[in-house]
Amino acid sequence: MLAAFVWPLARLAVSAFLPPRDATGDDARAGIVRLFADSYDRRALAHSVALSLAVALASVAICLPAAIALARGRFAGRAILRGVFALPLSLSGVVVGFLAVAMLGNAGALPSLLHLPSLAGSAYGLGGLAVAYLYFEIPRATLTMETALAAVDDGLLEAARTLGASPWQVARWVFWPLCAPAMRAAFAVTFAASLGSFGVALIVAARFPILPVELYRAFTGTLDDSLAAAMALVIAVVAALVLALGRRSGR
Amino acid sequence: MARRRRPLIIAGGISALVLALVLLLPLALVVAAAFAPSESLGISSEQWIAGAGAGRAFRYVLQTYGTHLITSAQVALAAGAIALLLGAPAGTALAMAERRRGARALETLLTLPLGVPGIAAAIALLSAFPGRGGALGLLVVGHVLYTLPYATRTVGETARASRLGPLLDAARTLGAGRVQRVRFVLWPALRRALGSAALVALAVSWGEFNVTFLLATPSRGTFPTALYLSYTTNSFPVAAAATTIMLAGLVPLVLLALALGHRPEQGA
Amino acid sequence: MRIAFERLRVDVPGHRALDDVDGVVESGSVTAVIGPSGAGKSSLLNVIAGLVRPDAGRVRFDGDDVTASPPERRRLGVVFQDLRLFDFLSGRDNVAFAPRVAGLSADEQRRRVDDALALVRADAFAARPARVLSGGERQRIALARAIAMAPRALLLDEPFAALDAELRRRLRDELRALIRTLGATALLVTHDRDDAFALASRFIVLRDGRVEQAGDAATLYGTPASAFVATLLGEATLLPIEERRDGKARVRGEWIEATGNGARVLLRPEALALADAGSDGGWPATIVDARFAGGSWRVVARLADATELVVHALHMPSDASVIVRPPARAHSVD
Repeated sequence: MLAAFVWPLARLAVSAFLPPRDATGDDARAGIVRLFADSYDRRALAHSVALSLAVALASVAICLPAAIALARGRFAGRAILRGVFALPLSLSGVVVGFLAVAMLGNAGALPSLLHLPSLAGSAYGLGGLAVAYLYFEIPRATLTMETALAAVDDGLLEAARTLGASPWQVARWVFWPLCAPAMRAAFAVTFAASLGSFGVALIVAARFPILPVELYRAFTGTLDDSLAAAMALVIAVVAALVLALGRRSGR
Repeated sequence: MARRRRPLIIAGGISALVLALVLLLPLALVVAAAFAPSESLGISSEQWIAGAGAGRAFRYVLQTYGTHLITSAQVALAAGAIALLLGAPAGTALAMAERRRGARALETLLTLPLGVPGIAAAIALLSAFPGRGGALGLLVVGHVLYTLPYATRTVGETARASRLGPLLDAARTLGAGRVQRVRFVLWPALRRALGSAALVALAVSWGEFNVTFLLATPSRGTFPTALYLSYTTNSFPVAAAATTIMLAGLVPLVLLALALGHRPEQGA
Repeated sequence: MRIAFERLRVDVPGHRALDDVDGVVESGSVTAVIGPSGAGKSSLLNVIAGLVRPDAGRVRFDGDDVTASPPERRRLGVVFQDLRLFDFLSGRDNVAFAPRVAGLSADEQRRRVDDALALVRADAFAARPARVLSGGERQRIALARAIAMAPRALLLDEPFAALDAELRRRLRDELRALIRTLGATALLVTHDRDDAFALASRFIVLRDGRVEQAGDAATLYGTPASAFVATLLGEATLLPIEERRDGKARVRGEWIEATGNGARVLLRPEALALADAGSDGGWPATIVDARFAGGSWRVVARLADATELVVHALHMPSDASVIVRPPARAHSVD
């Protein structure tokens, strides 16, 4: 495992800081430098980070009530609901991209079903990416928060009530602080997932500046190993940082 | 003592239901599109094959991407088997050796791939080991890198939760030899986790795209690569049919794994 | 079976869990290893059970050196503090585990299981899965599981730790009767002195990995070797000796016959007596607390210099001012 994984990662980190092979002139700077120097690449990076951030925030906010209900409610069919949420998690990015296109592509289903022809074609580019990200972030956020919330001790809430707190106060002063780590963890996980999602970007954003696709291009198209390494490194590092932050407050 | 149904939970439950439907809708549409003329669903395709019925779409998929299916099956079985054979003992051993220094570190190391986004890991691997494109062995290795951590973690967590170490000690004092301990304590305690880990490994391999895509050649790839080709080159019904096949493989695996106690928070 | 251990040493990262520990459990008797948390009791039990190899020393069963023998072959019935029941099995199947791995016939297995369950009175719930049983039920199953092995001796680690007081008392009495019925040799590890007194005839007191004192219960209670043992085994007040002469010690003006060579006399609550203020002899004191303990009063009396004594009195004195009478004879410790 060490050989097969850590070594390549280390090598990757190093090559990001070195100039690429067989490069001349302008192109001979280290990949990591060029990543930030080139405006197109910068935009790709910015798009990736910003979009992932936004959708992660949105999904956590949207999914919190559902997560609470799943974790603490006692209604029949919870297991089924959980199963439904688990399914999209196991779909690879390409499929999710396809679903986005099927719904919102030039010939997608939603515009005709909802009689909103302006939606057609919105799949490609920012909107489609956002929708696709949402599609696999919603289950991830919901289930991550559910697990963390399920661990909330009912006894704590009851104790708060006996100490004289109204339901609203209990929610605000006891339940909410207990939720926060769960939300942070969910945010971290969803952010990392969408930042690195490749298959989706391939299908939906082939012509839109987004980092994973640029990474693919650098690697296979222009054979710019240093730039590719730089991009991969940035993705990996940002994801790792966010995950580590999320985990520390989530425990 | 009855708990008052808080309105938040009811609202949450409804939103969960709504979200679930939102998640299911595209899937249902796509599967339906594979079987029915898609015009009836409001989808029109620019490359509509006149008179295409469900049978033709599926047959086309199987014809064109049949080898991909077979490769997927081969890789999945291999990666799954390796993951289980290596990961289960590793996870168990690590769970039982918890107090020894280095056990925690080793466990983090073994599950490292799960924390690195797929594409970054794929690039790292391929830069370091320039692949003989499409070689089956290399594909398996790439998949194992993801199936192994899942298996290790699933089995390890169950071993830890059921306190396997102390239980085995108790079995020893009751006179059980090594084989008996495996047969009467280890196996019953880990049965479900092993099944779940195997299913998850298969599901992960079946759906793996990042590493596979970069390794694949036009002639040799797994089914997800076939899906990519289908999405970018085929008509909608064909793509829908291919997706349906993908789901037909994935859904049973995931549902069975869930039934055996798998917890899906970390993907797959 | 006679268990003997000599010069046991066990090192764990950070400290020495057992240091030159000797001891004996005579055949057919119960010995309690008693001491505070961290004293090394569980380490000792693990070494005797074979789960831990000592860094030095030997363990002998009936004279045979079994130090190198693995747990599977020692035939000791161990009841662990955390019970370690197989939750994926029923209570019955748990009890049948040892007979089963020993390869006994189905009939013989059933007989052993039935006998063991009857002895611990667990027949009623044994068929249920172990994980749904209550604390007391699990305790009984754990015991039955060890007995069904027809072990050469029993090792019990804090057998009643997780139970409430009432259940604890009941099970303790049952266990006592059970051990007597079986004529079993048993080693009991506990920090609870009531358990130790109820079940064991001999004690080994462990402190920081060393044997502080060993002997029969009455001896250790009456003539402990140190203040540590004295307070471990019961309530005690220790008062400094002011002067010694002719085998007697003067304590606060009173002369007491003192055994031992210690600097303080050991005064047990039941050895002290209360008398009305104004009686001659004894120490003047004021009662600061008294509670009825169902049979006698536990009285805390404060002497002139603020030292407090605990006295067990049959009757509650009417006045707060009393005289505390020391016993004629007491043991001394440092």
